[in-house]
Formats: sequence, C-alpha cells, structure tokens
Amino acid sequence: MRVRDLKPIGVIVVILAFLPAIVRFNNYYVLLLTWILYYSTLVSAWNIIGGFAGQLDLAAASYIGLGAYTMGTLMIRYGLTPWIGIPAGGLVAVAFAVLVGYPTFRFGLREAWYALATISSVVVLQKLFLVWESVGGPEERYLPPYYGSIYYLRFRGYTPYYYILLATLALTLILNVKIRRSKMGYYLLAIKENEEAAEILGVDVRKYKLKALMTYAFVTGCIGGIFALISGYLHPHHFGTWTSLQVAILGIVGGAGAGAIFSLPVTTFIIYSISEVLRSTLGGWIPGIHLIFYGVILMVVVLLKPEGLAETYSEFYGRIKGALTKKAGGMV
Amino acid sequence: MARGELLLEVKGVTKRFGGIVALDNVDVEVHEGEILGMIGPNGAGKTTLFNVVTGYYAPDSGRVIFQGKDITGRPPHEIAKLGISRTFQIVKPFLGLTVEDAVRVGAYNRLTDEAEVERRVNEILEFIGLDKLRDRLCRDLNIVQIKQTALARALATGPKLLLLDEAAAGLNPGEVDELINLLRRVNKEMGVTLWVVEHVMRFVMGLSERIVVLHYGEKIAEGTPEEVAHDPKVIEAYLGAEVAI
Repeated sequence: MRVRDLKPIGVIVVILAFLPAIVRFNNYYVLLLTWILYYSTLVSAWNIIGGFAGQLDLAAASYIGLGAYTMGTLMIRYGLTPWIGIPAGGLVAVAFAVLVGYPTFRFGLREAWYALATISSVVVLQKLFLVWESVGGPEERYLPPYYGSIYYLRFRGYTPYYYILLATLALTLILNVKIRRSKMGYYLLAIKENEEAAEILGVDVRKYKLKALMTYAFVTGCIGGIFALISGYLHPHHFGTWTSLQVAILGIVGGAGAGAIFSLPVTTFIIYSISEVLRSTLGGWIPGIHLIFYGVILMVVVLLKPEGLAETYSEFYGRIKGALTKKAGGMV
Repeated sequence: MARGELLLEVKGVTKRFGGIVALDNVDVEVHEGEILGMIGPNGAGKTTLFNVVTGYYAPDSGRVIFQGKDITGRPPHEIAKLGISRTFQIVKPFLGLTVEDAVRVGAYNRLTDEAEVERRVNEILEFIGLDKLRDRLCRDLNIVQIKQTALARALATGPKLLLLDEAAAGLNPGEVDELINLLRRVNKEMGVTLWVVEHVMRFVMGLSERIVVLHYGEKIAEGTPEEVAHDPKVIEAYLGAEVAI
C-alpha cells in the first residue's frame, strides 16, 4: 500500500468530519448524515464482493441483522460491551456467509442465481428471528439505556455515532485500497473478468470468492452492530431486503470495481441526499412519490452512465487538476 | 531433468459427452523441451484433450501423469501450481484489466514477494514485446495484442509445459511467422515445453518437431511433420474416405 493511495481517504474523512459542525450539530440533520454515512460504509464494504469479485451479492441485510442481534443480545442478556459485541457480530456474519457461500460457490451459482440465493437468505433469517422467541420475536427488544457511556457506546444524540461510522468508513476504505493492491485484489478482478481463464493462472476461484465474501460479511456484520446501537432496539425487520437492494443499487450506480473505491461513498452521499430531500419535500404531498423520482434519477444515471459514475469523477478530477496546473504554469 | 525425458503422459484417456465419444483411449507422450504439434479435423477432440489435461474436464477413464505424478481430475489452479498453463481457442481476455495487471495475475502463481512479482511481470512484458502497451486496458487491444497478452499471462505463471490452443488462428502470414519465432524463443530461451493445437498448417508444420493426429477422438498417427503429412490415414481423415476409395 502506498501513501499516495491513502490521500483521497484522508480528504474524504476530513470533509465528512466537518459536516456535523456545518449543520450546527442539529440532531435531525446529524441523524440524516449518519444514515448517509451508514449506507456509504455498507456500499464500500460491498465493493469487495460486488466490485472486485463481481458477485451480485444481496445478503447485506442478513449480515446487518446478524451483527445487530449478536451485539444487542450480548448486551441485553449479559451486559457485554459492544467493543466486543460488534466484532462478535462480525464473526457470526462470517459464519453465516460461509454457510451460504460455500455451497453456492461449490456448485458454481453465479449472476442472477447468486443474487436470488443471497436475497432469499435475508427473507429466511427475517422469518427465523420472528419465530425464534427467545432471541427475536415480533416485539422490539430495547437496548439498555446506559446513556453517555463510552463502555456501552450508548449516547442520547447522534453525533457520537456519526463519528463512530466515520471511523468505520475510513477503515473500510483503507481495507479496499489494501486489497486492491494485493494478490487477493488482482485475483478477485481476474475472477470477475473470466473465471475459467483465472483458474489456469493458478487462481483458486472458490477460495478467493469465499475470502472476499467473508471479508465483506465481517465488515457488514460490524456495521450491523453499530446500526443496532443507533436505532436502540432489535427487531426482525432489521433483516430488510430493501437495505440489501439499496446497497447493491448504490454500488452499481457508483460504478463498483477497482476504480470505484472513492466513487462509492461520494455517489452514495449525493444520491442518498437527493432521496432524503425528495422525501422531506414531496413525501408530505403524495406519500411514496419521492420513490418515483428517486427511481427516475437512478434510471437516468444508469442510461447515461451504464458503467457507473466512477469514471465521471476521475474525468472531472482530471479536468480540474489540468486547469489548475495550466493556470499555475501560466503564472510562472 | 534432461531434455528428452518424459514430462507428461496421457494414458488411455476416454471422455464421453452423452452418447458421443470425444476421446477414445488416447495416449500421448510429451517430452521435456520439445515442441509437440497436434492436428485433426474439427471435432477431433483436440480441445477436449487439452481440457482433460488442464483439469477442466475429468476423463471417464485413463490417467494423466505429469512429472511422474498422477494429476487426473485435479482442478486447474492446482495444475497451474504444478507447472502447466494454457491459452484458449476462444480467447478469454480480462477486458477490464490493463495488460500489466493481467500478466501480474499469472505472476502470483509461483511468487509471493511483491518485488519479485514486479520483476517477473517486467521480464515477461519485455520478452513478448508488450512493454509499451502495459498500461493499456485489454478491451482496447487488437486481436494480435490480445493473443500476446494471453500468452504473456500464461508464461508469467512459470510453466514447464504450455498448451496453446489455436494461437495462430486469425493471424495473417506475417504475424504467423512472428509468432513462430516468438514461440521458438519461449521454447529455447525460457525452456518451456510446448504442445500446440493448430489448424494453420504452415504454423504447425513449421514449428513442431513431432506431430500427433486425432480423428473422431482417436489418435490415428504420430511422427515427424514429414511422416504425418504422407500418412495415408491422415490424408484420408482430412480429405474424406470417399476420395480414398
């Protein structure tokens, strides 16, 4: 990993760190920003399986839910700190990922079939937790209120969670860069391009797909634990297919892949903000109409930029940089 | 291992697809350091045999022995680790990767140290003559360059045996000559044993020291290019039985 690869992460993190101050720590706006950051982090984690390895994974909500229930149950039942509960949730998500991923990769499920297999895992888990009364059940299970405790990571406002997610986003982006520049990254890209060709170059396709899936599941499971802290309760609807779809849609629109590491959080930020503005302005007019506009925006982006927005940013960045150096050169 | 020693042995390999016998009790021996050609009309089973040797198909019966080790039915990535690589008749390029990155995927087969990987990639790119195109995406290459990249990434794995499936298809005569020269250098300078399947006779006759002929899944002849070209069975297979009668 080279220092110059990490510079953009630094820039993104510094800009995001100032946003709560810009909205003067208004709790509503900070919550909004927190959700945007939540999705940015999820999409960045998804890039490892969806962007590098090219697998259309729709199981994000499975890992989120498992992470949330693991962290939450350990806290409610045993008073365990989320500092342990969150990574424990990540590990449970990894175990589940292996359970689903091993057979799907073993039998070569790809593309639409892989997508269906993974999204059905979300539905199965939701029903399972609905009937599993001792852990889940149809009623909300509230986390104990220990407010203001760093040990329990429970806070009344949303600002601390915003910064927890920001740190998670930074780590997820560093992980992306690290994988991209390693043997695993090159292998995953080769798998995405052509599995058969990759195999005879020495790539153990199943092993590396599973490695990518496990990495992504761990990060997503951890984010699930943080999600439960923010929402403050556990409920089977945390296994939501909409979340899974949202993550994949934002990933695809952002141009998931090797060149999209920084495009993904930026795209998520823009698209999710637009969706929230539409919801707050139009939602009161006709319920649900904001989703229609949201859908139209996504369609336009996909029609104009079927390869995603990643290249658009780098072109834009290149043009700005070109203009700046030209100007600087002229002055000398 | 000295030149001429047995490197790969295909023993009595049979492969059926439903009722069709694609390979019928085929025996082939490949010796260290040689260039072996394989010809045969369309559907003779040449690609199927390559797929059996490289682990894409498991044979219904028979063995594949590489350097004295039974590799029958092992998956392709393990076979690559043991030292066999190949190119494909229908090229399978990594369209979204740069030439350099495609070659790098192959280089990780034997190397773990990043500096060594880098060195190997540079070596191969220079050897094949792709160093000027290293940052070009594979999707922006022409067919000759795509085939060169396929050869480069296979060589980057550090193979002892390289299987080339119709490497000369679609090339003009000048390009075929260049490829022959390049493959001779791969054979001599890198010490890679070659087994080539080809329809372009000028290529296979000019390059190979020994040729195996397949017809309807059976090996019908074997020998020097000279011997094979005059073998009545081979003439019959290529021209059709009616002509011979």
